[in-house]
Amino acid sequence: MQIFRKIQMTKIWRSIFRTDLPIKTNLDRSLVIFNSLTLHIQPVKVRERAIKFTYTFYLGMISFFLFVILTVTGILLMLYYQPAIPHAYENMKDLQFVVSNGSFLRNMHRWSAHLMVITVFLHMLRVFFSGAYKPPREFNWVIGVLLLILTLLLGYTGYLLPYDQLSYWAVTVGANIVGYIPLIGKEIRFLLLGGNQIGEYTLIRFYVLHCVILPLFLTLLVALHFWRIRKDGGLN
Amino acid sequence: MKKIYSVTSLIFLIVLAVSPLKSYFSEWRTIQNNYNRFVEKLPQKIKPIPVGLKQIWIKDFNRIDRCVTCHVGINDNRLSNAPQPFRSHPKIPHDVEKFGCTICHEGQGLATDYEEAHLSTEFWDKPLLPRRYVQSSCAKCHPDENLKFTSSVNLGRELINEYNCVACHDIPGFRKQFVPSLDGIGNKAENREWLINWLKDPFHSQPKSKMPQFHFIDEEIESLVDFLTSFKNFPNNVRFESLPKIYFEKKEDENFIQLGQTRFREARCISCHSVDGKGGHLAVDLGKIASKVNEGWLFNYIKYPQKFQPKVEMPQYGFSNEEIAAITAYIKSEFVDWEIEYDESKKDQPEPNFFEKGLAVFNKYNCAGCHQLSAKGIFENPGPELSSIGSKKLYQIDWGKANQPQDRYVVAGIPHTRYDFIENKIKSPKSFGENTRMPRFNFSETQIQSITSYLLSLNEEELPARYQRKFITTSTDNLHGEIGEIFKKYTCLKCHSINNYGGKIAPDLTRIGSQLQTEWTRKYFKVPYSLRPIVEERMPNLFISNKEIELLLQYFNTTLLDDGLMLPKNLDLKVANVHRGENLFRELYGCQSCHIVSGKGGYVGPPLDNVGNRLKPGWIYKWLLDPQFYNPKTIEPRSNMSNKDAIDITAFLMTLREK
Repeated sequence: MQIFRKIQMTKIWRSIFRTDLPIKTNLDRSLVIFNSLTLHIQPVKVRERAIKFTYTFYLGMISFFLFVILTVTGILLMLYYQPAIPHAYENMKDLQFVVSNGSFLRNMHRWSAHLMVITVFLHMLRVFFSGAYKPPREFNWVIGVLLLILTLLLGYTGYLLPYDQLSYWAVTVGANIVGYIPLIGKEIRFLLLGGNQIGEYTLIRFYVLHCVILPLFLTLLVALHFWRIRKDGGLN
Repeated sequence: MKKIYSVTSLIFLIVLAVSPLKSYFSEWRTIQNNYNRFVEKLPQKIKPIPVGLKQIWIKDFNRIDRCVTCHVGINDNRLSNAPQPFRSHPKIPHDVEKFGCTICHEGQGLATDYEEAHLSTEFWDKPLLPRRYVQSSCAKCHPDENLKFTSSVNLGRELINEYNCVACHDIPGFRKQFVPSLDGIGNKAENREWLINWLKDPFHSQPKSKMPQFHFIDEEIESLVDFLTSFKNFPNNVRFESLPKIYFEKKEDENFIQLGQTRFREARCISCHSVDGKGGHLAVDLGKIASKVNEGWLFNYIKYPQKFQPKVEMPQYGFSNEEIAAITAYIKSEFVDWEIEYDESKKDQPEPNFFEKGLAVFNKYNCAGCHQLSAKGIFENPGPELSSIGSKKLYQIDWGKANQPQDRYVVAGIPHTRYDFIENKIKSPKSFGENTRMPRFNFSETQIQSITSYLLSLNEEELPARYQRKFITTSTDNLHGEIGEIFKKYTCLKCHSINNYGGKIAPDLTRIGSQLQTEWTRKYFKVPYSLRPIVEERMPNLFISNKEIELLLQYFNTTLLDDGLMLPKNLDLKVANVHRGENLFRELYGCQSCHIVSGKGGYVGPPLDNVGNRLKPGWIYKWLLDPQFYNPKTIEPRSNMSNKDAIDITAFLMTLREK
């Protein structure tokens, strides 16, 4: 205990953790929260009834944890995946037949994605029925809607990556729907596919969208979403 | 709350453990362990293998084949009788390590369990090729080669050529075949009924007909027949020569018919034609020909085949008018379809718009793909191109009603694979829907499989150029002038070939001048015979005129030569030891086991009595040294004879002359 104290008093420790020790007052306790990157998102004070399970069903948090699982498994899957034709499909076969626990990894990613869409929807329903979109939370509701769209887009872009018949035709149908947007439909379709029909460029576009652009925006919006929850008064 | 947390964590841990366990108890691991146990028991000492995934990676083909994970003994000859999957591969010209498995066998090389690797599954539509189609893969790299291992593909290639599939389908590497022109058919046909019956079912009067059965409806046949019989002008506006008087005077005279029969025999018409199924297979069956064509056509056609049917391969015989008339009378009296029924009521009353209707049917079924007909409004209306049919996507195939077993055309439950599709499409085209225009050919099961085999080889897959073996035969018919005329008139190149151009039925003529002696050839033209009595195709007696024979001989002796077939200058037949040659012939090399000399010997090779009259010594000498050099297909064994032996045997053979 003595040694631990000593370490806590060193210059290096102090340069990392700013909280003055020992913690004595409530102000000190709140400072711990304020000064920490990971904890500052928490409200300083939480009432017990606000975190009752039946009130939120933890749906937002479950969605977030599914996103974490998706990120971890996704990064591992990236190690075995080449966004090229015909390698993409062959990589699926490698995952299935050769990579240790490859099928498990891929199934985790897939089922988590499905679950995430479901929980995000349920989360939205919960917010709606508990009236949590009302002022002052209307902006956070809008961010939530954007997050839902990003979740669906992530699902859609991920669908093409195995490059099998199912993905090919799903993306064909999706791209054709986009093509019917008046005036700019054709251009958006071209932009999305990287050409007039699905090919290598579509694959690389969807890959970058799925692995970089969309998750980046999702992360930023999630941060904003969480931050607004606190600023708008936490759970009510 | 804590309880729920701990229980879910526990479940999660168990789930996590399932995955590595599944991988540890996988099928291939068991098989490899079984292999190690199996080889331990064998008397031969075969090393057990370390357990682990194995694969062959062929970078050039972009293929990874994990088949060897279970087929562990594939390269070990000692395992040729082992049970599968440990048996070694039968001997093939290619190294398994360099070519992998799926490039020939298809199937899912990436997979490591039985179903996925061998069968057609939800995510893999190229199952293992059945044994009868494996050779189609050879032709992916050897497209034009007649390899000795690929008899089925070779036959398929021949059939596609012979049955003129390219008339409707675009298939690379084939040229359209000769098909009789329909111009003048109104003047050629004996009667309407025959045409109607022919269109209904060509196989009735010609079981080996190359014309397929189109399954026309009766109405279509009526309009088509009316349409066709309205064409009475022959190509190039040639006209019938009227039959000589003698024909009408004597056509029922038995002696006259007898003369016709004699000429028919002498000319060996049945070398090419069959009569009720017996005889050659190069030309149409004549068994019922008299009910098909009229006497005017028979007479004129025998006289000038190419005038009435340009480019036909029938030679023009040197018969006199009387002889032709006699042959016509013979055919008219003998080759009749006695079963044909005449319906007098319908005659000569075509519908008012028969021409338009007939033309529509003609175009719908792409008759113009094969037959030439000079009429306005005819166009080619081809079927799907087949240049990459072997890699056609399964979802692009219209399986139609092929899954409804109650239908009359349908072979119940056709499995959804490429080869089943092609096979059944050829066998019964209507099984995939009534509306198809594809006709039915009278193919045997083997023929269907051969064609399927060849078609499967037409693959989109890009294989590196250095694996591709292409034979380009650019040589063409370069015979001109008088000789060209003679060759054309007697259609020599239908059976014989010169410089790789021509037929493969009869011997190659490229070096015939260095091979045969002039005197013998002259006699042979007069009375051709078969050197080997067991060979079916025989040179017909073409009744070539003396002048033409001399011209041909001159051409043979000045142009169709090979300087390599001269006897070497330091060897002279005069100093050669004839007796030694005879002894070598009879004792050491045992030539008589295949060749007949003075009444004794085998039937495999040609008899060698009189060979001294027939062959030139240079040819015999070279042939003895290396029989396969000039004829790679000959079965005469190469005996590595010394030059001395060869010259002595040559000298001996040259003494075998007609006395």
